[in-house]
Amino acid sequence: MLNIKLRTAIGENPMLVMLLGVCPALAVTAELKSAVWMAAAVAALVIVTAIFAWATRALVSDAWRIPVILILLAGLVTAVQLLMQAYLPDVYTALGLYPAAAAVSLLVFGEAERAARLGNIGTVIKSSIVTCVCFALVLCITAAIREILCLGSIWGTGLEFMANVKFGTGAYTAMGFIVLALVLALVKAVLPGKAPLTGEDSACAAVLSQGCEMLEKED
Amino acid sequence: MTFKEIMALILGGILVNNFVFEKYLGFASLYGISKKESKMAVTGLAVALVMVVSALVNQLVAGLLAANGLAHFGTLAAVIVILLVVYLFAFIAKLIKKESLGAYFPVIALNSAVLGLCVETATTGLAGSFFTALGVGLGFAFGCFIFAGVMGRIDMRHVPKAFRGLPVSLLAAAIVSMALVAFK
Repeated sequence: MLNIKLRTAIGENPMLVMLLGVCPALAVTAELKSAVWMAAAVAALVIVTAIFAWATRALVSDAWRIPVILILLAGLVTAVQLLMQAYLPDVYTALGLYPAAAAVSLLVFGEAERAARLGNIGTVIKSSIVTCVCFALVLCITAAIREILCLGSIWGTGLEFMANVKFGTGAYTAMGFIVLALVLALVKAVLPGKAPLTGEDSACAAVLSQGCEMLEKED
Repeated sequence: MTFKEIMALILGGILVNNFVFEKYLGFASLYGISKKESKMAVTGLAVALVMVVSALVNQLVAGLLAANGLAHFGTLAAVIVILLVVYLFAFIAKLIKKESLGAYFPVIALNSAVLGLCVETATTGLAGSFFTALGVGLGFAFGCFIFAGVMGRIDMRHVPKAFRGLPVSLLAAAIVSMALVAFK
């Protein structure tokens, strides 16, 4: 079940390929600890939503899938927020409003759309777990690099060799974009020519992709 | 509210607290829309309009929830409010222009900037919500226009292969973000 192949982890990585879930990736990766908890929260949302989308695929038409999943997701996010507030108040404060933003996460919608088209529940769960692991991988790598470069620490523990060379908090926002760009470029350099990662236009979310095609045709 | 406070909220939303380039909200939607500046500007203004209306309606709903001890359901209420507002605009678009929102529906309804704004302004009062939403909405439109302009001027032939597409877009966003830091 957890036979995650390297090509799947990288070549079909939802964040790297289609820019899904980039908002939490950029926002909560200032520290590795926040990134790990955010990845765990998003994983729970992805798996439950995918199972729901698969279970209701015959009952909900394609036109109504987005609103139905949106409302379910908002309810789940509320539950996650309440649990975090109760048991992990420090993490809840650190994450701010980004768990709420997960309610409209394109990563979750992309996975729900895919789950609704899959044959059996086992495949749905396996696909969701792979997606979550891939997402968590990129999230944590980006967070680790950002925390080391900006704060000179890792998991809250200061690194002596970074004490005098860290970028500081002033570069937080831009570093998020830069680090993610470098991670993505590294992957593209390591795996050149892989179909999902080529081209300037490959990065449209699964849910947005149809809209993008329509808009590009009008250009 | 004084004029100074109002301008601080509006200019803050456009520049200092730009939701896309400072808080990373709505970036995926922004990237996936289009490369044409005119189309990006129209989309940005449409999202801005939805932001203002959603924030105002959500303000009222959040007040009702808080009065009944249901403030914890703020996120759920915000999502429902945004959906209803988007459907309302879709209905109006169909009446006026005889065509549906089509591709713009997911761009607006699944925009984390809209939801983030509603959640953040739920307790700021009606006037505060309106001007904050106006500033953030105009900031989103501004971000759309600027980003489209930057992306349209990048010649991919001169970009290293590994950086073509997403990476160079993220770097462009980083440069815009750094430019906005100057206003802090």
